[in-house]
Amino acid sequence: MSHTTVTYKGSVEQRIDMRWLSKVITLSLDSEQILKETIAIGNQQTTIGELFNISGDNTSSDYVLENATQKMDYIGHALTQSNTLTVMGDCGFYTGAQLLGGRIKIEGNTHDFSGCGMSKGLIEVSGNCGNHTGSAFTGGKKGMSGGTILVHGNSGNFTGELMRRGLIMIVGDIGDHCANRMIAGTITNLGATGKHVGAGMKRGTLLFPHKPENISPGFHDCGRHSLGYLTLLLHEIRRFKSAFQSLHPMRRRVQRYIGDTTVEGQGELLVWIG
Amino acid sequence: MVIKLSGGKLYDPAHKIDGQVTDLYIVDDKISKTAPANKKIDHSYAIDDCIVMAGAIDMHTHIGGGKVNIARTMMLEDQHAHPDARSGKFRSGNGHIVPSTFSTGYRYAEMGYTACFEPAVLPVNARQAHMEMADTPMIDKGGYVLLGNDDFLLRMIQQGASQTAVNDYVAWLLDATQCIGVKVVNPGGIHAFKYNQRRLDVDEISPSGVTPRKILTVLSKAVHDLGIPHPLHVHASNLGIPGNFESTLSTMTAAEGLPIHLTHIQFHSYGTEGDHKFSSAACQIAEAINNQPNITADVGQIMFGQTITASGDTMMQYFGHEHANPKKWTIMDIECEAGCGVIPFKYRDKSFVNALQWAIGLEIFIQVNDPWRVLLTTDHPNGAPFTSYPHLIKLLMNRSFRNDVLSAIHPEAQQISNLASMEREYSLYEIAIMTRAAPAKILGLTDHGHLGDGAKANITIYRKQDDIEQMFTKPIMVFKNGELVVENGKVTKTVQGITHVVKPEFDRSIEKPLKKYFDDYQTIAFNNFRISSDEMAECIGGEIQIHPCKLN
Ligand SMILES: [Zn+2]
Repeated sequence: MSHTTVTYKGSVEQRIDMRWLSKVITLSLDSEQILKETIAIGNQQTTIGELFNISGDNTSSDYVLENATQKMDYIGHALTQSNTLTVMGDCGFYTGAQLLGGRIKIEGNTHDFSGCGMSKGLIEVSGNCGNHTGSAFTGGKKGMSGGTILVHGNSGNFTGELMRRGLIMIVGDIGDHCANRMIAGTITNLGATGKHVGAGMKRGTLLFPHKPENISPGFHDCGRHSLGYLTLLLHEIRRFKSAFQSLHPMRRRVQRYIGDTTVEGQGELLVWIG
Repeated sequence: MVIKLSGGKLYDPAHKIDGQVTDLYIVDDKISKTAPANKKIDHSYAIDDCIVMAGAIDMHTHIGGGKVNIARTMMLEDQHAHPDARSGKFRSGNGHIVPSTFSTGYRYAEMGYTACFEPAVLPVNARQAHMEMADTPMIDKGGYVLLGNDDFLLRMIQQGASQTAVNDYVAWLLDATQCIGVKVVNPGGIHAFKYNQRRLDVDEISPSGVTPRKILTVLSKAVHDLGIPHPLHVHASNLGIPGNFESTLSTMTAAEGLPIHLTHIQFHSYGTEGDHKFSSAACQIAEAINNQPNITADVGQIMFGQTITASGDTMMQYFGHEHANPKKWTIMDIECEAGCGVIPFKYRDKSFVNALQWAIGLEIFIQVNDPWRVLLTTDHPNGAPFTSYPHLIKLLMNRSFRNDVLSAIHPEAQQISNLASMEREYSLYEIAIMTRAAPAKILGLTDHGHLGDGAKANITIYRKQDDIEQMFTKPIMVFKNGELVVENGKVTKTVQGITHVVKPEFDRSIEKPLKKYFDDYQTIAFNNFRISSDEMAECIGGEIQIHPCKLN
């Protein structure tokens, strides 16, 4: 399959704003031209060509970013439907922020605010995610509003904060304050979950294998249930190639807690039984 | 340095020059009509067919002080969406609806503005406000000190202190806070809000024991007695409430014939007629302004789109907090002086109320006959960001454009507004009055806002274009104090403006009761409160220019 390779030469200490790459990808810009454009590095100006090589067939909308580092912010920012971006290495802040479609695959870890404000598409991280995965921009009132984030490692604190819609799947553990002020959407994992789950949660579904410690007091135990719709949800979750495929497709028995009743209290926290 | 500008059409209302082709000379930082003897001309610009005006002055724009920073931190999405990268000698910044200091300075200069005035400097926040304004490059600045809800003044009035004592307090405060004018926001209302009151009418006794009318009368008299050129700057009671035009009319009479400036009057011109119990009272307000020559006003036009409202008026901001969009808001109390409320707001042309607000602002512009007494503002950022001024000017100058926009707003608002039938179109000369000559006159800036001999060489040159909005968005040249700082709508040189202040005389004996008041109630020591002129120049970075007070 033909694709374009963007290689970082690994030459600066400062953070790099990678929104230029999204412009290249979404607008199919001429790579010769783009390499001459200036970019701010700390308090200096340099050209993109000084930092990156672009090679390969840039008529395709498949891109590979090689040698990525955790100093690169906004990798895959606002990509659209037909784009795929594979990142070899770690990412900085705001990876896939405001994603409008397409697919970003990261062979490494990401920093905070991955997928914040995204509305469509898929972000897949082979390693761990930082804090605020799928949340809103700082100060924003709406987090991720659609699409899927799949993390094969762990995620940090405030996962799915202010999330509005969409699916977050974490194979490993989730940090504290998961689903803080969540508006709606689905978060699931296979590992442990930190403290204060679902504080201020209005609607949405949390699906965990273990009962988290320190659930917000606004949650109420509603007993054991066998929920038919979970087979539909599992069907969706198992679509992605990940450890979630080990879940039995007909599994549907859960302990159900609803909350957070200090706000709307329409959210549910489901813990697998058996 | 001598610069010659030849062939430009001058619009200089202060000297009644309306589009005459005249050569101008800039000698160092001053304007001259004649070529200076024995000096060679260093630069000559042929600006045939170009329009020459003095640098514009925005006399009511929130660009410094606590609430602007709250607005900036609250609207991080705005900061994210509008980054300004550092380039060459220009600093980075961000933001569109409440830009950072550097962006504010650059954007104003790029529109040909050379002076801006922050209308709500809380005494206790004055140092911070001046620091922030000193951080704003390109433009001259000034502030109006906020009074009328501070415990000290309210007690003085309640205890029947003499007018001279009030005058001394006002003058002392102007000196201590390095301001050029006095502002009152919802007189007594912010104070009453602290006592859990939600509404305060002009003739209602507030918890402080005085009526808003009394506060206005005493303060407008103080400003007059002290000879401060800028009349009392009044944000009237009941902002944004249907039917508030009556309290606006009462506010006008509270000045008892003395000069008074009513700010963002659009927000104070609402009636209660019609099915929605919300209607335009622009006609009554405009008539009142037309009939009372002591009154000046600025409009506070709203524009459709996202903005944020930031006001000291906690009472009315609290009233409006339910309409916050996005849903986040701040109301805070600020010491013994006032408070502040910051609420993001999205004006929508398909909303009846917003559409009518838009029409009311334009109706006031059109129905006030004298452009010397109605100034062009959007109360940045409350009605719209200041970058929408060129659009507003186009609405005023082009009736068919105005009617096009009108035809797209909420149909009921269109129906009940008289705007479509109003034929008046502003001329370039009248725009020059509202944005240059009149604000300079109202503020007492004798060497600004005109193109006469000896004026500061703050000059904006526009290339004549059919599209007025384009023309006012991108002046081809802007001179600040004789230096060319903007070319083709882009800043090319950074300069630092000064701070305009007044220093009326007063009796130092007022400091004795003030010291006790500070010791008893304030969080800052009396001696640390006052900002000296040296501190302004050396520490804060806002060198001051003192404007004379006329002694009565
Ligand atoms: Zn204002």
